[in-house]
Amino acid sequence: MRNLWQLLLRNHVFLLFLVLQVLALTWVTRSHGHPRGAWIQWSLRWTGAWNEQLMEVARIRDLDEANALLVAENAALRALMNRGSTAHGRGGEVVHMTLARSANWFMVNRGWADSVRVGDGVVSSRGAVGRIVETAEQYAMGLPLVNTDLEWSGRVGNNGVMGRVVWPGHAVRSGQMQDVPRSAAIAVGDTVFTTGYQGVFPPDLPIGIVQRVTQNPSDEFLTVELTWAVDFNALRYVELLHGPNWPAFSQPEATE
Amino acid sequence: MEGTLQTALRWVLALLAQAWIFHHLVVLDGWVTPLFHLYGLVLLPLRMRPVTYLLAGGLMGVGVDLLNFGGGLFTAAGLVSGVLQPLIARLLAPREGYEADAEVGPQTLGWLWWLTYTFLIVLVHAVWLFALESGRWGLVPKGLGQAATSALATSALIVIVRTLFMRNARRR
Repeated sequence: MRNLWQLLLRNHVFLLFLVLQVLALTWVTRSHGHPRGAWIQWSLRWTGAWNEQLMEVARIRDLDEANALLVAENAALRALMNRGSTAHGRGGEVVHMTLARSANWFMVNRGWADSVRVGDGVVSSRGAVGRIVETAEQYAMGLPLVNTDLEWSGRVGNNGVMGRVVWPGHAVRSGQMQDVPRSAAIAVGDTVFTTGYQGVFPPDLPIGIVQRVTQNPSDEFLTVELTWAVDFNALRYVELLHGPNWPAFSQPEATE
Repeated sequence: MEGTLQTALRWVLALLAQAWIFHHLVVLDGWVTPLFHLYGLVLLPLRMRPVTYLLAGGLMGVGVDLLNFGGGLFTAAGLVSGVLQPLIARLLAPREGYEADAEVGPQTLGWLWWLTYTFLIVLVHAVWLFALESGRWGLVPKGLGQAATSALATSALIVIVRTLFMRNARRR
């Protein structure tokens, strides 16, 4: 017993390291891809204002105002189009976005004070962007298509075959559509749209353009390489959509 | 010999600089990711107790994770560099050991020691950070490549900032 005690004392730093490392890794596995919780809200509040100040430095005033007006108009038009489904949207601005990680995220300058809710879809004028996973009063955090932990439902063309859209984690410009049956007729240049089944995006929003179709040697499926419709490197103005009727088809938007 | 207050202040400033400035300066699709908070860890005095390095590294990681939505990645990496920092110092120690007033930097221990010491600490931190961040085995090679290039960039950044501070101190 005494020897054991001495052994523990001699290696107390390493043992403490092991305990703390296990706690840190638990934190990593719990939050990877889906950061949620009180600390995120606290951080959104503190860093959101700072990120917005940084954006101010880069802002070109006239262009900014014109874009804001266009986004507001876009949101109003989309709300009008979706009146039947009571979906509505709000314009917002991406104040920070990571693209260098595998579990990327972004922050928009709209929060629960603007009626933004967890699960809202985020789109730009070019197509689907991602979905909101956490909100604070004035800011919200979202996960974009370029996040390796997420899967999205997509369809080739308006009436074509469906599959899982994922980001393999390599180039930010390109994604993949998987589990597409080998019999599907898909051509380079076809557009992949949202299906609307997941309750986040309305149907028929562009996700990407088909760049290449490869046949998997091991199974009966095709892998379709896409270029995202949205240029995430230049993403700034977005709309946040909330569609109360879509959850009729609702499934979890993302799988961990 | 630097005081405890100066060391603590540098630790806090490095954390805030990383969270508010360098976090936004990731370039080349993540192949150059500045990890400037390590400035506050690399320059910790040489003769502290090993447990202090561990806690300083872990707490630094918690700070970066909370401010930059790291989700525990920086904490895990900070703990690894914290536990290895005294071992790296021992590995690079002169035959007669460190003098009582030896400071981390090129002044007393030479440029080769300073560059090697900085790079090794930054490298172990970056390797653990990027390997964990990869999230899946297929992305680990890319993560390790990013760790190597980011470690080089961060080491250069730390050395440049330290040199600038040394010059200013000498002028005063």
